[in-house]
Amino acid sequence: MMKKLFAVLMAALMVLSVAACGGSDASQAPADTQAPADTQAPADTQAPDDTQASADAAYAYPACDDANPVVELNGTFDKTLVKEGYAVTSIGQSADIDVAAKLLDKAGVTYTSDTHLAADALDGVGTLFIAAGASTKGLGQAGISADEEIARANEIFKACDEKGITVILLHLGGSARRGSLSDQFTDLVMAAADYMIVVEEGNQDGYFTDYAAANNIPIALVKSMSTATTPVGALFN
Amino acid sequence: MKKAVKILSLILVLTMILSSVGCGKDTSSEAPETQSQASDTTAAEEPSSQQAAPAGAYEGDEFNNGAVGETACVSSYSELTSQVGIDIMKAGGNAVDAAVATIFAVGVCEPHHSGIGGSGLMTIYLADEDRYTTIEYLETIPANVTASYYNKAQYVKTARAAGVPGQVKGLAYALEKYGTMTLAQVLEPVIKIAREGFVLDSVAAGAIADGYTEFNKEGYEYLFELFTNDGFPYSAGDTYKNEDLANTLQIIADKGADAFYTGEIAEKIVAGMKEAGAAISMEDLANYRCVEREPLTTEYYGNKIYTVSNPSNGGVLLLGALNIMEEADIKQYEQGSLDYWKVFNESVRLSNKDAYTYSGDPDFYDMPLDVLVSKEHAKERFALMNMQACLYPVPGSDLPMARKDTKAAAGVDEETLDQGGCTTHIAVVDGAGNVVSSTNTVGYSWGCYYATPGLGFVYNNHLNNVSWTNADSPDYFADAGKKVRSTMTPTIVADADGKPIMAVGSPGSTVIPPVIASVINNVTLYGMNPQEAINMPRAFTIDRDTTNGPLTDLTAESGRLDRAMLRQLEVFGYSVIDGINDYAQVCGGVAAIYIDRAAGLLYGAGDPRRDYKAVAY
Repeated sequence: MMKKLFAVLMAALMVLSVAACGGSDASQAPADTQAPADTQAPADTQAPDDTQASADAAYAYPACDDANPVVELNGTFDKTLVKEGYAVTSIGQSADIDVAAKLLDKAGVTYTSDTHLAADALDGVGTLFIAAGASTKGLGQAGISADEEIARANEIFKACDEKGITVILLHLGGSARRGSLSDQFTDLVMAAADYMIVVEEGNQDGYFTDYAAANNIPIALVKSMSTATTPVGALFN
Repeated sequence: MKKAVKILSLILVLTMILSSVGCGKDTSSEAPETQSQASDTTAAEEPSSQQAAPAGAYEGDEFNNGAVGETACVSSYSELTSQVGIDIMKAGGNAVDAAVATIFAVGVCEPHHSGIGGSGLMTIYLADEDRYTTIEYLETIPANVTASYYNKAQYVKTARAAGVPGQVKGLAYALEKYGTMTLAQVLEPVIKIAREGFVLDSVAAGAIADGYTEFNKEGYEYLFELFTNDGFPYSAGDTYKNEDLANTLQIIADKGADAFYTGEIAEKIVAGMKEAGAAISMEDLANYRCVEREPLTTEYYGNKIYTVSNPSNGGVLLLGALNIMEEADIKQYEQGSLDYWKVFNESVRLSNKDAYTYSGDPDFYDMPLDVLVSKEHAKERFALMNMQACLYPVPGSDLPMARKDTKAAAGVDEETLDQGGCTTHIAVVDGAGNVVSSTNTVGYSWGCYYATPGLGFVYNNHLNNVSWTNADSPDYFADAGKKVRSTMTPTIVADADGKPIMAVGSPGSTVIPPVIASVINNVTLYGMNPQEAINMPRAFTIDRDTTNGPLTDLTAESGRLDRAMLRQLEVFGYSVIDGINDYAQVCGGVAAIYIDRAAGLLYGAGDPRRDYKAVAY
C-alpha cells in the first residue's frame, strides 16, 4: 500500500513539475526570433486574432536559437520516415514550393515538382512534400479560387491515404503564411501530415506544435528556411 | 502512518525544489541568447526596435501599432524606421528632416515597396507660414523610347519597366527647401542600418519569399545575391544587411543628389540599364526634375482636406469621393452599415471614373481639376447614385480637357494595377507643429525586379502605368520627361481654421483613396481615434477595367463583417471578394497621426495589416 501510494504521488509530482516548467517557458520570451504575442502584428497573410488567440495555451517546447537551430519533437527525423518516389507540391500556391524544391536539391534528391499536382498524378510517389500556406498573388496568378485549391487538396490527401503515400508538411514562410487565408489550407495539410517541418516564426501561437502534440506527429521546428536543410537532409542520409 | 506522511512531505518538498531548479536551468540557459539577440538588434537600430512594448498605446490599439506623445511623432513601416525619424527630431531636426530620414530608412527595411529607385509624393504643412504645399517626385518617361519599347506581358519584370527615378531628387529638394539638416546628417542612421543590419520582420521576409521564384531565374542573379542566405530566402528574425545599398547611400550623403543624377551613381545606373536593354540615359537622369505643386483641397463636413494634385490622380479621386459622400450626407448612416457601404463605395466609384478619365501630367494637359473637386460637380455625380442598385458601367463626366500643345486627349486605355502589395506611407509631426504626409513606391512589389549590380536597390516598374498604344491618352509615352501617373495620395486633414488635425495616407494602388476616405470618416464623422479608425474592417470597390471603369467587385474583410450585410451588398449588385484575411494587405496600410490640440497630445497610429508602428515622445 505504501509503495503504491508513493509511486502514484511521485508520478503526480513529476507531471506537475513538467507542467510547471512548460508554463514557465510559455510565458517567457521563447526565442530570439519570436516577438511576444501582444507585440506581434499581422503580416501580409495574417489575421491578428487567429495567431494570438491560443498564445497562452501553446504547447511548450525548447525554442530554436543560434545554438540549436533545429528542435525535433515527438520523434527524430531520419531516412526511415520516407519512401522512395519523391514529389513536391503547394497547397495555397505560395512561392514556398520553390524553397521546398531547393531543400530537396540541397539534399541531392531526385523529385518532381508541380504547383498544381493532381491526385491522379501520384502513381509512383512514395513521399509527398507539401509547401503549405497561401499567397493571394499565387492564387490569382494561377487563376485558382480558394475553394478549388481546397478541393484539389482533399483529392490529393484521399489518394495519399489510399496509396499509403507519406505526407510531409513544410511550412516555411513563417507568420507571413499564417492567418485565415493560409490556415484554411494548412489545416488540411496538417490533418494529412505524417511529419512536419516548420519555420518556428510561424508557430508563435503554438499552432503547429499543439497539433503535433495532440496527434503525436513528429515535428521539426527550424530557425529559418536555410536551417530546414538539416531535417530534410536527415530524411535522406 | 505519521511516518508515511512525513516521508511524503519530504518527497514533496524535494521534488518541488528539483522541479524549480530544472525550470531555472532552462531559463538561465536561454538568457544569454536573448541578451545576445538584443545586442545584435541594438547594434543596428538602437534599443526600441524589435523590443517588446506595452500592449496598446491607447484605447483601440489592439495590436500595439500606436504611440502617444506630447512633442513629436512618426508613423511608418516599422518601429525601427519610425525611430529613425524620432531620433532626427530629438537631435534638432524638424518634421521634414525626420520625414526624409524615415523615407530613406523605409527604403532600406522595406526594399520591395519603396526606395531610391522609385518615386513619391509629399504633402507638407509649414507651421511658421501656416501654409500647405506638396512635392511631387514621380518618375519620368525616358526620351529614347518608342511604342515597341514596352509591353506588359514581356517586360513588366525587367529593367525596361523602369521610369527615371525621382525619390533622391525629391527628398533632397524637400530637405534643402524645408528642412534644417544636410543629406549626410539624415542619411547617417540609415546607412548604419543598411551596413550593420537589422532584424527582418515577417512582412519583409514574406515579400522576399514571394519574390524567391523570380530571384531564382536567369537574369535575376543580383537580386538572388541580395536577398537570399545560402540559397534560401531570408526568414523573419534573420539579421539582414545590404552593404551595397549602404555604399550607394554613402555616396549620396557625401556628394549630394547630383551623384545619383549626373555623377558616379548615374553612370552605373545607365551602364546597367544599357546592359539590361533599357533606355534610361545620362540625359534622362540629368533632366529629371521634381515639382512643387499647390495642393488640391476641399471642405468636408467643416474640415479641410489637403492632398496632392495630378499627375497622381489619387487626390482628385479622394476629394471627389468625399464631396459626393457629403452630398449624400453619409454621416446620417451608421458606420459600417449597409447604407454606409453603399454610399461610400458608389461615391468612390463615381469619383474613380472621373479621376481616371482626367488623369495625366498637368504640365502637358489642361485638366478640369478644380471642377472635379468642386461641390457643384459632386452634386451632379451624386444625382446619378441609386441606392437600389449599384451603377455599372459608371457614367463619365463631360468636361473639357486639352493637351497644352496640339493633341486632344481622351481617356486612359490601359489599366495596370497591382493591388495590395506595393508602396508605403509615413506621417510625421514635429514639436513646432510642422506636419508631413508622404507616400513612396517602386510600383509593384519589387518594382521591375531589376537592380544594378553593386548598387543595392530595385527600380520602379512605373512605365507599366504608361499608355504605349493610345496616342490620345494623357498617359501616352511619347513625351520625354512627362511624369507617370500614380494613385498615391498623401493627405493632411485640417480643422475649419486650416490648422492640421491629422496626417494620413496609405499604400495599395487604387485602394489608397478609399482607405484614406474611410479613416477620415471614422475619425471626423464617427469620433474614433486614429488607431480604432484604421483597425475597422474594410469593404471597398477597388477594381476597374479600361472599358467600363470601376467594376462591381467588393473586396471585403469578410471575416469581420456581417455575412447578411455582405449578402445584401451582393443583391445591390456588388460581387463580394472575400477570400482574404481579416486584416488584409490588399485593403491598404495606413500610417496616421492625429493632433489633439486641446489635450496637447499626438496620437500616432499604424496599420496592423502591414505591421506599421508609430513612435512618439
